[in-house]
Amino acid sequence: MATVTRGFFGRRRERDPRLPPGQYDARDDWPVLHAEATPRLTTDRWTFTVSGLVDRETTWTWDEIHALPRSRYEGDIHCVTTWSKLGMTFDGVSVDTLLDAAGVQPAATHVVAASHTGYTTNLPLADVTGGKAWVVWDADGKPLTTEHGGPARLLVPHLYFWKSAKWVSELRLLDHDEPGFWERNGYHDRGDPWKEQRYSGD
Amino acid sequence: MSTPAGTTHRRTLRWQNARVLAVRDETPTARTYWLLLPEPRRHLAGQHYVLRLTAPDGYSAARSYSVASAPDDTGEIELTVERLVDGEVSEFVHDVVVPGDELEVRGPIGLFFVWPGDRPALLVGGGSGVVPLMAMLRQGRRDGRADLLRVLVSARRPPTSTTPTSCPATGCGSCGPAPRRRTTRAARAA
Repeated sequence: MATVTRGFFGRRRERDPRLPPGQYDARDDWPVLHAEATPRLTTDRWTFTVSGLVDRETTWTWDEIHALPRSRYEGDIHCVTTWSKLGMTFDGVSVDTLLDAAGVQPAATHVVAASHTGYTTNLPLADVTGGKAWVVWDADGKPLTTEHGGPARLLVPHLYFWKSAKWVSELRLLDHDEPGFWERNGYHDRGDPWKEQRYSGD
Repeated sequence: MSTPAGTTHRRTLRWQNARVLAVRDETPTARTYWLLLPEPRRHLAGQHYVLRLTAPDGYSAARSYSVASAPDDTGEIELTVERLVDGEVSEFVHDVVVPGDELEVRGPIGLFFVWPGDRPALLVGGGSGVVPLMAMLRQGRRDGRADLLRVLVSARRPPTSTTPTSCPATGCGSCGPAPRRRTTRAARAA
């Protein structure tokens, strides 16, 4: 049970129902937090690969991935550091489209998303299929900037945003769970913001 | 980078009511809160705690604050809180919290941004980002291993009379335990 803090009544009595517990609305701000140096990636050399337990390991170039059917996410994003951004628009391609092209083998249960920087994050396969995940290159109608993961990042908006790997380069399908970078460093394995799964053990 | 001392246990994640022992000003906008933890767990320099405020109707707001003090076994930690304009938590902490109050916290958290105390490190920070670096610097000084550290700090304004001598910003941009010239060279080499 939370202890009432002496003198605290809170400021925002009208809480937006789109905000998960413990989150605040960052409004026009879009904070930047990442653990590695911001890479310089050019679209002419950019690739994205689906590998592991698939029928056909598949790599797309920038032009090739843009030739796939487009998919848009309209909604909210939530960072474990407690900021959320409401009503955003991201454009790219559905992870379903990418996985269908590669052919997911029945044994696959999890994925590791890897970045061009070496960053990794793990997800159950069910969290990136069924219209829940994207590889995106536009945010609010403009190309995704490098500091926000451009030219393209993973987008898994129903989980805390460290799962939405910036500068994503690969989805590797596995038959087991394999903790990624933050998951090995004290953060929750799944990261559902509505359950406040922030840290390991939450 | 992780060590047994820094392993995040379930117990570290339990909320506990820390007692505010003292408050001191660091800069015109930053204040340090000295807390006594009923369930202490030794932290690593660079780790943080989450501080949660709860209103009588159950509404709560939580933010993360870095530990500014060196790891020790006193069960006491220092959190430095920068007052942010319109910051729901930081303004409350600055305006209302006084010694004797209880604050709900949990931690220590984070195994990535830590200094284990035994290897060279170049610390680069700005604003409240200096706080975790202070924990590292204080640990280095206490253990006689400050020679392992070089500190480069960026500040919005020159140091004032309220900037304490313990703050690395005292050198106005570039300072630390080593002579200024060496610090600058180390920073360039990075």
